[in-house]
Amino acid sequence: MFLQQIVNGLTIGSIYALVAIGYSLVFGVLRLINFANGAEYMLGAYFVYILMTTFGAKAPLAIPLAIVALGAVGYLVDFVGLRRLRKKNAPRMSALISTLGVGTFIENAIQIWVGTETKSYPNFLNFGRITIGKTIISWTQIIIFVTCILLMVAVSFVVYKTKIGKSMLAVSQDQMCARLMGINVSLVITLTFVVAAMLACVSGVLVGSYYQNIDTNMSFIVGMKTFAAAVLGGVGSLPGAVAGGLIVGLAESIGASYVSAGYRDAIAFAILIIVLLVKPSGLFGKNNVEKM
Amino acid sequence: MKKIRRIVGMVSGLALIVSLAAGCGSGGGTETKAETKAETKAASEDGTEAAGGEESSSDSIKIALYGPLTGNNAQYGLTYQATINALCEKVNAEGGINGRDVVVEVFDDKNDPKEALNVANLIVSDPEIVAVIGSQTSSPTLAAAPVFEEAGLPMITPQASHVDITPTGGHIFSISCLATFEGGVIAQRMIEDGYKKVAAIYANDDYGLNIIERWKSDVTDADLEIVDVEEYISGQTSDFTPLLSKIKESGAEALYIVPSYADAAMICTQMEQLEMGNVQKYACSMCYTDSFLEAAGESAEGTKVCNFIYPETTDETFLALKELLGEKTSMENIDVYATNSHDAFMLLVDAMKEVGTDGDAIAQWLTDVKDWPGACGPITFDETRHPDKQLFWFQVEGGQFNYLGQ
Repeated sequence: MFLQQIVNGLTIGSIYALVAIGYSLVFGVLRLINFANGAEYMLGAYFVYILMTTFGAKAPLAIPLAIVALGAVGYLVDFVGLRRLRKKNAPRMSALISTLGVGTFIENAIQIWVGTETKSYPNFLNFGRITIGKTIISWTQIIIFVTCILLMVAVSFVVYKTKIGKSMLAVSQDQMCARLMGINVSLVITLTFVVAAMLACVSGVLVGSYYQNIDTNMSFIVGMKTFAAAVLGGVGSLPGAVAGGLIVGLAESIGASYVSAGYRDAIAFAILIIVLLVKPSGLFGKNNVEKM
Repeated sequence: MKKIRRIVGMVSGLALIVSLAAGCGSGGGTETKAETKAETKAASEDGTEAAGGEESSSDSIKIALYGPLTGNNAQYGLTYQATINALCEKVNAEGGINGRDVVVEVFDDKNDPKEALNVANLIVSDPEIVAVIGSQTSSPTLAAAPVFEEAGLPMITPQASHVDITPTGGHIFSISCLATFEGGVIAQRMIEDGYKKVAAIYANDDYGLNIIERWKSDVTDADLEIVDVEEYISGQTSDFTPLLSKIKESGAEALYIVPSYADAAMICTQMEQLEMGNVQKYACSMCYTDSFLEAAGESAEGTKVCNFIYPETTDETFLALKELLGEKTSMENIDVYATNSHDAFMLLVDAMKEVGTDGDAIAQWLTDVKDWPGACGPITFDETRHPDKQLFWFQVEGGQFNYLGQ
């Protein structure tokens, strides 16, 4: 059973990790927690659902369309909710509240549009199961895990190795200086939001497919957990976000089975607190970031 | 530059307005009220008269309905709303209550006890409201019932079944059997089906705790072994695999799935994923709904579900309700949410036809009523102000509920 719980934990952890990458990306560039991220995650799942049920699109068409659409939503979140605040040099708290507002707006809009009842969701990833000893691993779980790792590698490559990634890092360190160096700061920030929203969309679709169920409240808990995952790994660090996500997932799963399911969230957050007490910048975070 | 600013300003302004409107919508109160009124008006014949509009507010009888219209259990609340609206139209078309129109005001409690309490205070602050229907689950009903009892308003809950609800006072009635009743029925069935090792999974809320205690004691009395009982926090859990893996490991032969359909469906799909096909699933009457079959798909196959409705029934009240809802709404299958909200509403209408709108008189009438023709069997309230009911068993086969027997 222990191995089974590890598999369960890694699956849910991969999902947290995917959303946490988005959090970390935005935080890394803007020093801003994007509370709209959880709403984008729900919206991605619902876009695919709407495309498939209302417009009869097949999954191979609906998923890429939804990812592109979420990219556009990510752009809008920045354009409507944040751009003006940046221009006005508003305090960071205003931007934070603005993302919270945009997130709530998205959630309510979906609730009115499709209703709040739980919807059954098609499983696109149903390719059967593998049994190793007593442990059952479904292909859905494998695909979720692999997607998570691949996307982490891809996003890390872009951020740490390419020119656009380097300009993201530059913007994160000093916006004014980056602007003086000829970096288009606005473009970099917009791009970050677009990528984060696309990642949220992918994880939303994976979650829907895994549970074969979506509802409009799905973003709330995941939003909280992924935030915890990002902090645990060290906000701004992409491998840290993935590690954090997997740890939170595992802690939850093992806590729920060996302690009590009532305490599953409490256990996950207790781990977060302990790690932060020992290493305040998170597992992979750099202590000296703020000073620079 | 200025132009862009203006556009941004306009867009965000628009967003604000829309979200405000959305807030009102989900808040229940005013909007739904206007809607219901308009609908009832259109149905009643004198509604076309210009003067009728103003007079009717003082002349009509107001009944409040509170229930989950948004959130996890929205589907149930919306069924209540649709059923009662259809019945209200019918009653008004047939002359109302002694010539007075019935107006139903709808409030959304979001299946949240805090919200239910707010809504209850809102309802009692309106002196025109004479009786109340709601809510759907035990927790919000437990929170709201004392407010109505204190105000002397008769309240009938179509569904809530916690043992502590009706003891609130003499004005509080329930159309449902006690929660413990269903726990006992399911325990009985497991015993009859010959299982030795049984397990249960339930949400840690008022309903779940109530029902699980009864089930545990009944099962233990019959010398069945309870190998595992798992609880979870409702509304915050979508990953049941850790709990189910544990239940699988415990070697349970039969599993009692206590929660309502959304969670139950997820439990079923995740059980399939963990290859727990050999565990017989038992589900409560809240799962006897098409939404459960749709959400759980193939993984629901074989699940035994109990319910208060026998679909082949020839009961006149039931058939009349089925016909009415077929005409006025998109509901094809009449579920227990429709029948129970029908019973709650029509009981109040019948009571008011005989004794008027005084709260104490209505409560007395309800207490005295004998074999009132409800949509799933005659209703007589016992000393707990719950009716006695019969349960029927179904099994999911080929994506349908097949009747097994009583």
